[in-house]
Amino acid sequence: MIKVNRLNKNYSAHNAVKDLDFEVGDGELFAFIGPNGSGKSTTIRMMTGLLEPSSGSVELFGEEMRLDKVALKQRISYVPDTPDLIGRLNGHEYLNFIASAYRMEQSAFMERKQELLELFDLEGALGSLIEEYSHGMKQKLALVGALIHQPDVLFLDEPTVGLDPKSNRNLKQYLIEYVKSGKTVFLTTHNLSLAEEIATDILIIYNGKKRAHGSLEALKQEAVGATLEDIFLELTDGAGIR
Amino acid sequence: MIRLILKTEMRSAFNYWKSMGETKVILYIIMALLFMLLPLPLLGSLLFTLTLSLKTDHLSSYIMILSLAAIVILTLLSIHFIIKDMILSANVPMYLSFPISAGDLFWAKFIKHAFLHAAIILMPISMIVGVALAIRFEEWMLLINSAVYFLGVGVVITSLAYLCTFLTAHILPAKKVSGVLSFVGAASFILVYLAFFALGDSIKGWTKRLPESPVSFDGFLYGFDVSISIIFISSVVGLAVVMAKSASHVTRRAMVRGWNFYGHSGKRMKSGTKLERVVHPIVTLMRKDLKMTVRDFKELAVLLPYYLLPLFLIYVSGFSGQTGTGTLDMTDILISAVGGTLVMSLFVGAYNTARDAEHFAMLKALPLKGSSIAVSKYLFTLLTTVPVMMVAFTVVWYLSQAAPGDLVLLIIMILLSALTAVPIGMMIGSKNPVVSYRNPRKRLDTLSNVMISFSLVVVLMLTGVATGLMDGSTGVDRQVLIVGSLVLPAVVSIWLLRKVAKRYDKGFKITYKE
Repeated sequence: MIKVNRLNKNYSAHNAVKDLDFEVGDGELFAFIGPNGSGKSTTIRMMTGLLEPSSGSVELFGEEMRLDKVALKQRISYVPDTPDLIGRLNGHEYLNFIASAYRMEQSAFMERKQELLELFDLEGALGSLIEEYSHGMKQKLALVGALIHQPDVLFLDEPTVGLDPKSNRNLKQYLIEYVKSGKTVFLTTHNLSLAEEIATDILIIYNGKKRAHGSLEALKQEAVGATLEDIFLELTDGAGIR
Repeated sequence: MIRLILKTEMRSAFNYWKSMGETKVILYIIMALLFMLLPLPLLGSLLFTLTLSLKTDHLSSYIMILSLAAIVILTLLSIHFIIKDMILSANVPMYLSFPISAGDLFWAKFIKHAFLHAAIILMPISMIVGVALAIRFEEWMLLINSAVYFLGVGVVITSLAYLCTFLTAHILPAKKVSGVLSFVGAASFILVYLAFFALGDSIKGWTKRLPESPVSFDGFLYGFDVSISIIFISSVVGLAVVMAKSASHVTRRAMVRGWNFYGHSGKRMKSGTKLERVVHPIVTLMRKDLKMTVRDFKELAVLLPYYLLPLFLIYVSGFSGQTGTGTLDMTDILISAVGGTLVMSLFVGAYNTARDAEHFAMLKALPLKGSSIAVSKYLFTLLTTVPVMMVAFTVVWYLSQAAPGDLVLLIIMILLSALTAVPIGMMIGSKNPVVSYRNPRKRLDTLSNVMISFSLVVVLMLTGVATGLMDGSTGVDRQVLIVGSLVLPAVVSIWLLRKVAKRYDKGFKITYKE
């Protein structure tokens, strides 16, 4: 479903992503983890076509992803680390905008909207302008917008930041069920226990380079450690630990 | 403590000035020099001449109007800056987290705002008026009285601004108030400009129509009398002290209680069934643009001068009275309509397109073709500019008593001009849009502004050529000439629209600024 081939991104002299190779299959919940500034967001932006790679390519559903590939975008969704919403729309109008952009059927839109609003406890809270929402509310709305058309691949960059415990748990359960239905989730997170709990495949990136890739069990064999946190710290030279 | 806060504020302003970059600093210096060289001496000499030459009977009305104008304009200006400085920037909680009292903070901010947004304007006015009165009535005490009077007005203005801001801080969202004031500010700027334009025609006629003043300044600002002056000065100082004390009380109370920043008033917007309907992507994009425009007064404030342009053009088309005939010439109307539509469409097209930079990543994450976004932008700009010009110039046509055929021609010309200019504006707007966190309404970079100005010069030159050609032609020839000269660019504009669509597909080159 997703194929990343020798992906590179250079900003002047700085190589943000170096020769990244991996594949993500159908029905996988892929956790893409790494310390701050390791190239996670840059990679995810290249995978969603928002950033042009310096070299290498990203294939989605067997087709190369580029900014103008509208048909590919129809099948994916992306929630950035900072929700990028239109502040002067209210929540209902924003969701309507998203549904129209994805050309959803009216009945499907209404049904999915109701289901997701209940899931994230957003019912009755969407009447105000988005610019008035708290970070958590914006994050929930961005997630509803991303899930509303049931994308084949869902890209989530730090989706749990700002979510309350209940929504966090609901999202977790939802993602587990979502991949069971054959859809794919590509997730970046600093929440290692979340990755450990729900990911079917994990890739650790450090300084733009792949350090390890595989299931949790495979990673435990590759590096010494009882938990993903131990493995992560060992492979990233204890980044963040003094 | 007040001195410490003022010193910190000065330091902060100085650091901001230093961090601005050489080009910007030079630009500001040039603008300040131009202001000091042109409008300032002009306004100064106007005030000086008026004060010297007006009949003594009219002096009270004149000073009253001057004071009221200053109160209205400077209070609006002060409210805008107080909101920006004390509510939007959130530096009040920062100061109050230190061992600083709300009272000290209020007086420091009050002195700053009174100096920067009232005294800096009113002191030169008091000097000009005072010197003129002192020369005219040969009494130098009038200069001191004038200074005290305008200083008092300055304190009243700043107090009024604080009272308006903090009395409504619990009821109205500060951000919205600031937006509304920017809009009012832009509107008043245009109105002041039009007033000056009208004044330029006949200053004598204007002074004759001065209303009777409810307050007489006789004995205080002219015909000097010691006892009246003492009563006046006491009253002015008393009023200023009462106002400042009231402002201090209200502001300190608001500082302690906190205020409404965004307006979580609990009032929910209605989301009717219409909004729930899934529509075509082009329609939803246009809806989004409409909401982004009408829900922010600051957006409207930026566009307002261009929407008031038809009024100005109607005025210069024949109502200026310069011809003295009172009749409207159809050629002038046609040229005004084309010129006005071109200017309006060019800027609005550029501005609307550049606005997409703000949420470009989100737009591009959606399955939207560049051509869909470009077409929606094109239609949105046409729908929000062409009808305005059509209505305005239909009124002009009606007043001109021209033939019905001329109205058809007028409408075709407005439409063709907009069809031509909007894609050019969109090209300019998509070239290098700016996303500024400090000033979100600044969306076009310097080069784009230069390009718009250059395009306008070209348009004006072409209009001049067209006028020359039209003067030598009549009737059907003239109509064929005008329509023909606009059809070709309108066709070319379709090609430009495709270029804009490609830019949407490829991605904008966006400049992010602090």
